Amino acid sequence: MHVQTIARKQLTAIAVAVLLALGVTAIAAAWSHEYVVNATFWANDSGHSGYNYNLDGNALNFTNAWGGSPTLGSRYIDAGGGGINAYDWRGASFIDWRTVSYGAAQCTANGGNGYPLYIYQCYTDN
Amino acid sequence: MRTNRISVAAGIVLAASIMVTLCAVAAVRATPEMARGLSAGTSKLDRAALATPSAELAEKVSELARFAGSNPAAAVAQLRKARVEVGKTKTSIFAFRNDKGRACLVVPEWIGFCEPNEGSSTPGLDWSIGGGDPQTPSKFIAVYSDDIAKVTLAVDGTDVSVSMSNNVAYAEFPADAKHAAFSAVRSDGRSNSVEIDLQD
Repeated sequence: MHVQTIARKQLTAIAVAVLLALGVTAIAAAWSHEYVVNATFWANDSGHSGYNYNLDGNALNFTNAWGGSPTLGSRYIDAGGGGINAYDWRGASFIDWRTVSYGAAQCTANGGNGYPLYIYQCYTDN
Repeated sequence: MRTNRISVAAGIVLAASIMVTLCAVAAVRATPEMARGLSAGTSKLDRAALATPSAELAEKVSELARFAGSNPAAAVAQLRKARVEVGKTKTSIFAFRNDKGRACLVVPEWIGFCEPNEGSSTPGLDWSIGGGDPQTPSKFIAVYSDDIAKVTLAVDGTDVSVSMSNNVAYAEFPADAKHAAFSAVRSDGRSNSVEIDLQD
């Protein structure tokens, strides 16, 4: 009986440990960062998120508040600080679903923009 | 007195003639403004076959719909296959309309975007470009309106073939390209062009 009680306690402890580990992992995985909010970007201005693992979305939302046709680029920065090719786009709601195993997300106003643009949000998650 | 009246009348007739002539010349020279964004319609998008999305695709569609302030369930329910396995990368492109009727495109594992509520700033075209890496070519993906007869693309001075179907234009080009120029040519011959430096 005593042996059974000890075994049961050990099993319970292991189960609790496993559940805690899973919970911590889930919290680490469910990461997001709204890294630019309500900002004006002139040509070549950029912002980037913090670094994390398995980024799989970079969501951008902006408007040409001052006219013209400015474009905003989405890209990821890898662990070495190098850029992965940008994806340029013009207007409203855009999500970049390319992935990076470890890095940061970035939004950058195209260097050829003749007008500033107003960014509502640049946001990434994993 | 009579001579004066005749002179005044002649002057009025002459002035009126000049004004009519000037107005006629102005009317001939005036070029009607191009319709903003995709306001000429994207009717073929609604005729593409309905899609049966996988759970993963449905999640992407829902994510874009939510981000565009639209109903995710409605977006998934009306999702259509606009293009199927195009280009060397066999890319499929799906489409839905957001709550405001604007066209939205979803390219799995690549990008998703919707036309702005105020209309694309490029008449006849809502476009995106770039994104390649050493393993994957860059892509030009655009929704074009019904009045566009042809979309052309040149990358670093070289013409690139653009395929068009169901109001969606698609092209692939080398990821190391530095400059792109593309045009939307209307059925009446008018066109507008965009030039862009591709970021590396």
